[in-house]
Amino acid sequence: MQIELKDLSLTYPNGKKALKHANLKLNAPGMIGLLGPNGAGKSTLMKLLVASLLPSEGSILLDGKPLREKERELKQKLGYLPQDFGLFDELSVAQFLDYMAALKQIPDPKNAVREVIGLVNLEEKSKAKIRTLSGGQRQRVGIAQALLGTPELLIFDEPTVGLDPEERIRFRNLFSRTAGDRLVLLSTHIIEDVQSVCDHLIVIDHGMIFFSGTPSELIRSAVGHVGSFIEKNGNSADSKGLQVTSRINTGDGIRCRVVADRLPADARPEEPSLEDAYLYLISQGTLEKTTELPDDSSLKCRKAGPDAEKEEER
Amino acid sequence: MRSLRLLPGEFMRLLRGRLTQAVMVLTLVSPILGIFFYKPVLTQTMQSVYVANPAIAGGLAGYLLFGLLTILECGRIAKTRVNLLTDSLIPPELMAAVRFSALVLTALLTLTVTATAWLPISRCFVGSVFAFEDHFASYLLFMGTSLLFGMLIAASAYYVSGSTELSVIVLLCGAALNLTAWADKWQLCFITPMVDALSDDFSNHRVFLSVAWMKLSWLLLLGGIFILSGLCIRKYGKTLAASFLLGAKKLVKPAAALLLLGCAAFTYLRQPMTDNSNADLDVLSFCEIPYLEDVLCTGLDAKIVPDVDRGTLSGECVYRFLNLSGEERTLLFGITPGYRIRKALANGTEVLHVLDDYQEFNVQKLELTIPADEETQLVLSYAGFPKENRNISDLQGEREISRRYICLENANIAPDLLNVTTDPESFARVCEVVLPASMTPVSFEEGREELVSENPDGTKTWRYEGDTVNSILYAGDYVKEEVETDAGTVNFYYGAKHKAVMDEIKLRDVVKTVMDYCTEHYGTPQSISEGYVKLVESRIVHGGYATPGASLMDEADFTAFNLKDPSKGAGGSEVMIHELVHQWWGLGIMFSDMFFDETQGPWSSEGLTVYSSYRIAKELYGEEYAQKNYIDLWKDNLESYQKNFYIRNPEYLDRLSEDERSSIVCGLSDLRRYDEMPLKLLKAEELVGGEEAFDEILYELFNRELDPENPFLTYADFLDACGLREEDLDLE
Repeated sequence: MQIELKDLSLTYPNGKKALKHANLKLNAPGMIGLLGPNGAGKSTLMKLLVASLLPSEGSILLDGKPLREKERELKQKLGYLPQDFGLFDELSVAQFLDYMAALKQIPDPKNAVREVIGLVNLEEKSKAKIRTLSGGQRQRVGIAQALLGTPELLIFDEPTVGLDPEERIRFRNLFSRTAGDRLVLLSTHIIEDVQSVCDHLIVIDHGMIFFSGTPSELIRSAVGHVGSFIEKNGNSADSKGLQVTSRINTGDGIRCRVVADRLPADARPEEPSLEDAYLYLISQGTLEKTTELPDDSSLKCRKAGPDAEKEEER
Repeated sequence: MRSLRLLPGEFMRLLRGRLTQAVMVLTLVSPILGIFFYKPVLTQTMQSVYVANPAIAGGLAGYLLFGLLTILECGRIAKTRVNLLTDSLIPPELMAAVRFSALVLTALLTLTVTATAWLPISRCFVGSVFAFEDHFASYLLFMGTSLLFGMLIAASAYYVSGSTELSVIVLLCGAALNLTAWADKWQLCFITPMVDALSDDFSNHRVFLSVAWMKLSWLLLLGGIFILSGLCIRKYGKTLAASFLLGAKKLVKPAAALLLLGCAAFTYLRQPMTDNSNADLDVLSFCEIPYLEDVLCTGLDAKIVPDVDRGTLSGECVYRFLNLSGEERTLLFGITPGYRIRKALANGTEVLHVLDDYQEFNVQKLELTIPADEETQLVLSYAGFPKENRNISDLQGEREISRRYICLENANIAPDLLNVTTDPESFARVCEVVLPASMTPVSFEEGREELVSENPDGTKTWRYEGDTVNSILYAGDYVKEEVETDAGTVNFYYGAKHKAVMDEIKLRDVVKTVMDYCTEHYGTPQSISEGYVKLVESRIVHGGYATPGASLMDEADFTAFNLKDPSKGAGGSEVMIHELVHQWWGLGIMFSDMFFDETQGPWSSEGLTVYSSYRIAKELYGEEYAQKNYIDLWKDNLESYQKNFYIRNPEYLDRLSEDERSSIVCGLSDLRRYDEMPLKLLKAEELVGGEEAFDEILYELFNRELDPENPFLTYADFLDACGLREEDLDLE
C-alpha cells in the first residue's frame, strides 16, 4: 500500500487553514510517527487520510489513484482510532466489538473479537458494559476496534491518552509488532511514544510539514544546537530567549538544557535527544514556517532551518 | 445490499439500548390510551371502541415515541462521537440509512408485538363480532404508518438541522397540526386518520381504502423529503449546502426524491375517494332545474355488476322516454362522481353526451339530447368507483363495494333524472344485480329480490323492482328472519356476525310486540299493504330511516356494548322500536317536515314516534321504566337545555364560532322534536281524558281520508282532533 499526498491543503469552512500544501509519500510496511504540538494539524491530516474530510486543494492518492475513487477500498483496509471518540455505553465490550466487526464485515467476527480483546488485555472486562469502564479501559476498547480484522492501514490519533505508563509501553510494543507487515500511522505529541518504535517521523506544525525522515536524521539535524549551562542571576535562559528542554537541580545550581540556533558562549554542547531535536525543529519552524518539500521527499530527512539553508548553499 | 448486511448488527445494537426498550414498552401499552383517554372515533361499535381507538391512539403515541427515539438516537451518536468510528468505516449517509432501517425494523417489531398482544384483549372486549383482518389492518394502517411517519419526520428534520431541539419542535408541530388545523381534513390528518366508525357486522374495506390512500400520499411526501434531507447529512466536514451539493451530484437520489414528491402531489390532488361537490350546502341548483313538460320516463331497466375486488361498478341502464314535443329534447341526468359514461345510445344511435365538471350533493350533471321520436329507448353504459361527498368526508365508508358488503344508493345504481318526471301510471324500474354467491341482496323498498340465475363464474344474478328511478341496495352476509305479526310479515335482515347478539336479546319477540301494538292501536300502515315490511340492519349511518315497506337501523344500535349499557335504557332495542313506529308516523302518515325548520315548531313525525315508542316501552317494560327512561329523560333534557347560557342569552350567540352556533341550533331542533313534542303529546293525552281516548284520536288521524293535494298531517289537524288550542299544550 502506498499513500501519497500531493500539494494537500485544507481550509475549514470558518476560514482556518489547517493544512498547507503538504507533500508526502507513505509506504507499507512501516511505522510512522506523526509529531506536532496541539493544534498543529495532525488530526486534520489523519481525517483527510481516512476520508473524513475532503481537501480544499491537492489530492491524496492511494496506490496511485485518487482517494475519492478508492474510498470504499480504503475503508475496508482501515483501522482507525480517532481522538475523543465515543462508544456505545449500553453495550458490553464484546458486543461493541461485535458491532464494529459487523461494520467491517469481518468474516469470522467471533474469533477476531476474541483475538483483539486478548491483544488489549480486556478479557476480564469483555462482558462488562462499556459504561462501567475506566478511561484507560475505554481507550483500550478503541484500540481494539481499530485492530479488528487486521487492517492493512492503521491510523492512531493520540492512542496512549489515558493509559498508565505500563500500558503505554505495552501498546507501543503492540503497535511496533503490528507494523511488521502493515502501515501504521501514530499521531502523538508525546516523543517517548514514537522514539523507540517508529522508523519514520513526520513533524507538523501550523499545518505545515517541517520534517519527514528517520528519528536519527531528526536528531542529527539538532547537533550543535543543544547545550546546557548553569542558570545564575542575570544569566537565565528566559533572558537569553532560549528554548529550554529541561531544568535539573544540581549542586552548582539549576542546569538548563536548551536548544537554539546559536548556543550561548557559556553553554556546554550536549548530545541531542529526539525531544531536543523535535523542539529545536519546532522552534525554528515557528520562526520560518517553511513548508515546501521536494517531490522525492518521501520519508527522507528534510533539513529544516538554518542547517538546511547552509547545506543548500554548499 | 451492503446496507442489508450491516442491518442486523445495527438492529441488535439498537435493541440493546435502554431508550429503545423503553420506547418499545411504552408503545406496546399505548393503545390503552384509546380506551380511556383519547377516543377520536365516537361511534359506539365494538370495533370502533376496542380496535380503532386503541390503534389510533397507539399511532399517535408511537409517532411521538419513535420520532423522539429517532432524534435522540441520531443526536446521541453525534454527541458521543461514536460517529467518528463508524464514519471511518462506512460513509455517513449509508450509516444513516442503515440506522434508519434498523429503527424501522424496531418499529415493525414493536408494531407486530403490539398488534399481537392486543389481539386477545380486543377479541375479548369486542366479542363475537371481532374480525382478525380488521384488527391487523387497523394496527397496520392506523398505528404502524404513524410510527413510520414520526421517524421520517424526525430523521428528516435532524438530517437538515443537525439539531435535536429543532427536530423535536418539528416533530411536535406535525402532531399539533394533525390534532388541530388538519383534524377535520381527511387527507391531512396523517397521524390520526379520520375514521367515522369500524363496522362490527359488515366490511370496513372502504374506510381502510380511504385511510390507505391518505397514508400513501403522506408516505410518498415524507419519503421524498427524507431522501432530500439525506443529501444534507454532513460529510467530509462540509457545511449543509456543500454536503447537499456533494450528495446531489449523483442524480439518482434527487431524481427519486422528486419522483416521490410528484407522486405525492398527484395522489393528493387526484384522490379518487371523494368528489368535488359544492361546499355551499345552501345551493340546490339541481333541485331547481325545471322539468320538461312534454317528456316522461316510462320505464327503466338497469343491470349492474359490482366488482367487489376493485370496489368499482359497471352498469347499463335502458330508459324508455315518451317525447310528446315532436322535437329533440335535452335531458339532464345526475350521475355519481367517479363514474364515466362509456356509451350513450338513443334508439340504437350513439348520442353525444356532456359530463359537467360541476358537482353538487354527490351528483354530477350529464347532458344529452334525445331525438324527436315519440318513443325513445336510451341506453347508458357507465362504470367507475363511486366517490363520496367531500362535504361529509368524515363519514366515508357508508358507500361501499367490497367482498363482504355492498351499499349503493340512487345514482350509484342508475343515473338519476334531473329534468324528467316518471309516468306515475306506468313507470316501472327493474334492476338486475350480479353478486358473489355468498351475498344476500336487500333492496330498500317494497319489492322482493328474486334470484334470476346462478352464473358459471360463481356469481348470482338477482332482480328487484320498484316504481321510482332511485333505489337503495344493500348486500352482504345477511341473516334473514321472518317474523309473523298482526300487520304482516316482517323480513328482518341483519349481519350474520350479529346472530348471537340478536338471539340473546330476543329481538324477534320485540319486533312482534311493536308491530302488533301499532297495528292494534293505529291500524295497518299502507307501507305494509303487501303484507310485509323489511327491517334492515346496515353499516353505520348514524341513526335509521324508513321508506314504504322498509325500515333501516344501523349496527351501532345493536352492539353488545350498547345493548348492555344500563345507562341507555331508551337505546338499543328501543331504537328499533322507534324506527318501526315510523312505519306508522312518518310513512303511513306524512308530516310536512321533510325539510324541517325549527322555527316552525316542534311538530313532526318524530314527536308522535317518540311518544308511541314510550307507550310501547311502557307496555313492554312497565310504567316505572317508561317514566324513568322516557318522560324523565325528556324533562331533564328540556330543563338542562333551558339552563344553557346561550339559550337564556341568545344575544351572545353571535360571539360563538359558526360550528358552536350550529351545534346549539341543531341541538334546539332535536330537542324540540324529540323531547318537547313528546311532552306536549303527553299533556294532550292528559287533557283529552287519558291514554285510551288519546289512542282513539290517533287512530282516527291515522286512518283519516287523505287529501291527495295535501296529504300531510298538520299540527292544526292534530289540535282540532283533540279539541285543543295551541296554548293548551304550552309547557311550564
